[in-house]
Amino acid sequence: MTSDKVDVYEEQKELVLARFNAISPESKIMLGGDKELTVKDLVSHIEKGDEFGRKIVQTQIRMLKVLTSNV
Amino acid sequence: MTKCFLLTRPGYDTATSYLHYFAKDAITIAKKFKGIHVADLEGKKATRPNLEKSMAHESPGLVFLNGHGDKMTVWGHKDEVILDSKNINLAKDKIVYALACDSLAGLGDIAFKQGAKAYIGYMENFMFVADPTRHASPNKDNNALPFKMACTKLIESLLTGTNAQEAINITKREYIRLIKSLGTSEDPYGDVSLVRFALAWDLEFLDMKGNPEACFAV
Repeated sequence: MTSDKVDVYEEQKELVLARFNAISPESKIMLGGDKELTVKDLVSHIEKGDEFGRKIVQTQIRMLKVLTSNV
Repeated sequence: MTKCFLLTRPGYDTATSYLHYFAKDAITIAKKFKGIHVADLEGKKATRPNLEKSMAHESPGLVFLNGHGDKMTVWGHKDEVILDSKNINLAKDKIVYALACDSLAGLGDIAFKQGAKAYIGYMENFMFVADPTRHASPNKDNNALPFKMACTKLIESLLTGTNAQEAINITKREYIRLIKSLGTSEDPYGDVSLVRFALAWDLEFLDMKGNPEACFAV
């Protein structure tokens, strides 16, 4: 990954973390297998930078684009 | 000629209780069409033998699976694996919509190779947000409502003869509409942010394998 891309990703990551940190850490998302994921779990994946965490960042950025678009 | 619409909807834990409720509208919509016979494997009836029997003998053109799952399996009542690589051949000439986690990523490919017209599902977890105070009554859960609306949009599109790819496109537009329409003015617990995120996740990972033009024409 080029340094520009890394910088953009790091900025996106900080933005997404700030948004999740504004939500109650115990709020939950339901998943299959009757598993649940708390906001705290989401933040932990993002901070670790694992594959799931990167997908969370990517999705949240897409959501923000949807919110601000005229589509 | 009557066509068969087969669905499975177990409801033995919190997540499947919600999916069971989400699927209710699909039955109402299907029953409006005189040409559709509904085979509903509900609750304890959502077993592997029952699914295999219905898929083999009723020849459903559209199969709607609700439940848990993973990359290679979809589950029925009490975590029984009801569809996997050993019986996916039964999906031949059918459209399958799996409202379950991950199965598109593995089982979807195999289904297409074994002759399924189309396999629609999620490449990752299917996510939704529920209000913990409403787990016993999903029909009163406003957090879960947008997810139900998106899922209903997809199955309604398929039932009315829209092809698989267009049904996905319609549903993705519905996800976008829902994300944009949620207001934060009355959101004391910050649930809206989480609902929007989960809707965006489902929007991102909903996809299909197979023939984009496959349709369940009545």
